[in-house]
Amino acid sequence: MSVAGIVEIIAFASSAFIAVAGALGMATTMSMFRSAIFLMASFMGVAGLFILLSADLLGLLQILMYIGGMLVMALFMVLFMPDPGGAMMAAMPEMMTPIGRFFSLGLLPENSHAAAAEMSGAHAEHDTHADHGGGHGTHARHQDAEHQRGRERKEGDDAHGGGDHHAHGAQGGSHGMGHMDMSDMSMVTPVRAWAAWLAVATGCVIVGLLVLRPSWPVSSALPDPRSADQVGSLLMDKYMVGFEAAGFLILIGIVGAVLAAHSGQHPDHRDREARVAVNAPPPPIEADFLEPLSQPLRDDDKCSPAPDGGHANHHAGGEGPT
Amino acid sequence: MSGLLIAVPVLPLLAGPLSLLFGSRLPWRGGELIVAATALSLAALMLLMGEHQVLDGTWFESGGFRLTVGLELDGLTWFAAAVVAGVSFFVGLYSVGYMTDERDRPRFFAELALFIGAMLTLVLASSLVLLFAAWETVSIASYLLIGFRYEEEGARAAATKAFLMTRLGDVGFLLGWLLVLLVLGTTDIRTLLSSVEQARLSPRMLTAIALLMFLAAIGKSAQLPLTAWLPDAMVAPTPVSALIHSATMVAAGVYLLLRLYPLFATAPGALDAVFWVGSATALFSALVATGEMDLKRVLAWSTSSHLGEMMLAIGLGGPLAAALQFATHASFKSALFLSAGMVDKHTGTRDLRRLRGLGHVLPVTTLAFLLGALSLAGFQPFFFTSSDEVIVATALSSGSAAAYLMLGVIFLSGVYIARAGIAVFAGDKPEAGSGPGERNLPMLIGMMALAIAAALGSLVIAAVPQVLPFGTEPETPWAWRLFVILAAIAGLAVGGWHAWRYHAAPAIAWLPGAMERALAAATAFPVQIVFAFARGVARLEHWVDAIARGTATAVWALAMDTDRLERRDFGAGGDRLAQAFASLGERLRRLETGKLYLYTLGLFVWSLVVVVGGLAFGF
Amino acid sequence: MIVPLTAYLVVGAILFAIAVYTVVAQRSAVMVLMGIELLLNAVGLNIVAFWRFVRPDDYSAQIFTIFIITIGAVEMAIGLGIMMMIYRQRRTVQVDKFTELRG
Repeated sequence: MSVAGIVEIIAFASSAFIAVAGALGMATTMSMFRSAIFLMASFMGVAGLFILLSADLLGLLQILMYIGGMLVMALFMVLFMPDPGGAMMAAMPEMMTPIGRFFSLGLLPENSHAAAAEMSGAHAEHDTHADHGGGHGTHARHQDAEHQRGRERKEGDDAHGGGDHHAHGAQGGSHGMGHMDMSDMSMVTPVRAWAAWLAVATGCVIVGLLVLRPSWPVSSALPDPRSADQVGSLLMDKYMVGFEAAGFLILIGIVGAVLAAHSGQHPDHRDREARVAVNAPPPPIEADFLEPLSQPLRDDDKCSPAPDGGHANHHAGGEGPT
Repeated sequence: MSGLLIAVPVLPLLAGPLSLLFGSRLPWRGGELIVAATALSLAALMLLMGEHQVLDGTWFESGGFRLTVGLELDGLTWFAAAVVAGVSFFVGLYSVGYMTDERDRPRFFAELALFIGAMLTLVLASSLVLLFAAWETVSIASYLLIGFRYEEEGARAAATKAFLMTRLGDVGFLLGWLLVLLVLGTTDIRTLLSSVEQARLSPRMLTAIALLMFLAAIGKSAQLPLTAWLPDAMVAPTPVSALIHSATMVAAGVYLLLRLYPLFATAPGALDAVFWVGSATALFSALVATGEMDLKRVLAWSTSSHLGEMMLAIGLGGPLAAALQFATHASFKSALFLSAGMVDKHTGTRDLRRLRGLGHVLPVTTLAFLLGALSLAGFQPFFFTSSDEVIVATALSSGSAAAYLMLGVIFLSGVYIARAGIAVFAGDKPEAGSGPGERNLPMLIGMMALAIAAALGSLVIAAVPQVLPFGTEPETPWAWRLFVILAAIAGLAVGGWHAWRYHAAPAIAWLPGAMERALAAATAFPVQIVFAFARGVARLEHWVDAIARGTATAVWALAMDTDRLERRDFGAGGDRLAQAFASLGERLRRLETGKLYLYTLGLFVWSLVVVVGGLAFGF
Repeated sequence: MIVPLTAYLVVGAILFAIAVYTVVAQRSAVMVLMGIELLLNAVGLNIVAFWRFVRPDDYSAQIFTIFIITIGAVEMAIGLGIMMMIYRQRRTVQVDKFTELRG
């Protein structure tokens, strides 16, 4: 084993570790900001892997474009979100999975009295949740129940959303409801368990395929060290159309994004009430306007396939608005 | 001249509807129209005396058969038409006076006009089809007239009985002329007679036609066994009885035989049948008449008897005698009926047991009755030939047995007519009656005219043979003439003495009554069989109806079941199927949650499943 | 190369799995978009790994990867723009609140 090999292995291992750990952290942490940073770390790891694979240009491009471009975009969006720092969730450590708690260490909770409990109690509560599998399930179901209750309290949601874009530190302060309004605070959808299992299954399947696959047709050729030159000349030569198309696409994307993010149409009236009316919260989403279609079958002999057809009318009335 | 011939039957037929339309406004309610029309017809006939003409035409022709219609005027038809028109005129005149108290007189006169027109058509017809049509029309008119006073229960029954019994005979006529049509291809009477002369028909065919026609005559002329309707038809108003049921309609049967005489003469056995039926009827009816209690019924049975005499004469090969008897019978019988009508109008009853001594109150009527009675008895007051003598003379030509029979009938006729006359007109003066008496002038004129005609019958007898195509009258030996007169006198004496002594008791004890009842039973029996058959048919129809109803019910039930099957099972089943699909769709709706995370989850899960599945099963 | 191809591919697979989890389980739309970025990243790693070990002389793979990155960036930009619009309407970007597609 040569030094280069050892170095290579170490480099690979560390880059891989950083990439995977960053991805994991992004997925599970309670703070959106942290999530973005973890993603940055993952990108870094992948960039390292690129460089290890002699794709220098790509590695640097990775850092420049992903981190310098997209991640900054994401960070800006994160700042618009409620509770980007994850303070709400940090106040409720019992709702987090162990991994989530691990990656959420150091988050400042909203309530100071819970903060102390948070720091010391994280590991303690780690043990109190003996049934982790059940924790997953109950958490999901709990959130489902909250989800249901949450739908009935749209005002709280909207009021909460109203306080949003004033401060990333806004602890969603207009409501002091705390534990009661958890559905808004949840970072994850109700299907987290499913998603976890899906991820595990996907990973297993692909890894299994890779491991069990007969050997790849590996060639031992060495890549040209001047990869940038090669890539550049290919871009200008063979893939000119694609290159230009990509540029065009970027242009369109920029224009579209700017348009989309525009602050909306100007109201006809220049006065403040109209502006406020435009920016007023929309009417709450009413209950589902689709009625159940099936009616109990009326078993009388007067039911005939005549044009009267009460069931048909019922159906049409039910599905008209949709 | 053809116009005159057509006018003879047509004028009365026209007067009928006119009477219906305008009769209620006329003073005599249409009677004057009828009398006038009949007078004109009679005048036309007189103008046509001695002419011979035929108005012939084809009604329609089909498949080799030619139906003709037309009028024929020759000696026999003119003679019969003259008799009919004359008697009709006087009876019409009488009826104008007789019917003054009746309701609905325009209808009566219209029906009477229908009858007269139809009878004249019958007599003058030159084709069997037209004759048959007139025959039936005369039956209808008789039905209408008998049932004129339809509120009386007996009138409706009698009218129906008369119509149905003559209908039985009419079947014979129908079959007869259809047979003629089949054999000859035409219904012309002259063609028939000429082909009979030329012997173009087989004897069996001749006999068949003859007997069928005779069946019609039996029905119409009230011969045995179809006599029963005639006495019951006496519920009709007296003019009707006088005209239809004594002088003309019933004589139509005899007339038919006279018209088709060559056919009968050549058909073997036909004349024998005629003779036997006629003689039996003559004797039977005369016997029954001696015991009848109703004056008009006596005269009805007497009519039947005299028609039997005419049949007898024809059966013995003497159509001339029958024709003479036809004429004289028409006059005296109608005179007798009209006087009976006068009695009825005065006293309100016709029962011999209650009538007595009307000679004091109704002298003219008594005279008319006397003249008629004498003529009936064959006793011509002027010692000229009576028609009975002619019949006897005819009978003698084929043996004396028939002549003795004839003498017996003459005797009996004297008995019953004297009995009736003495019972009604002789005797003490009745208590003060309230009848109208003899003040009705039209009635008197009509009655006396016919009575005088009856009395002058011998003149007719002298004049007629030149007109008729039946040869000359046979000469009666003097002895037999004396026998006839003696028989007549004897009969009158016996009847008169019996009535003087016992008033209205039956002249020959219980026998006539028993005979009449036996005849009634005998004619009732087939009627009962027919009724039973009709009821059986009705029951059969009821069964068929029940079957049909049952079938309909079953089909209906089947239809209802099918409907229920379709509605409940198919219809509702289809609905349930639709429901199942709807609920399935409802359940599948839960896939469409609208939630992004579920969609992404589903996406990734499904692709994983596909990959794994593809790998597991191989590509 | 000491480290075999399979190792790189395994890393890519793990990244892919984690990204799948993120896409499905995260509630905020921004997080979902970040998850999608991670997906693209994993795919890019795969491509470059194969390029290096199987066909290192043909640089088309790198160009392809560049395009992937580019398009991923554009997509993220537009996605964020749409998210802004939605946010203005609904005051929320939580994916489970948008149920108009429910049928």
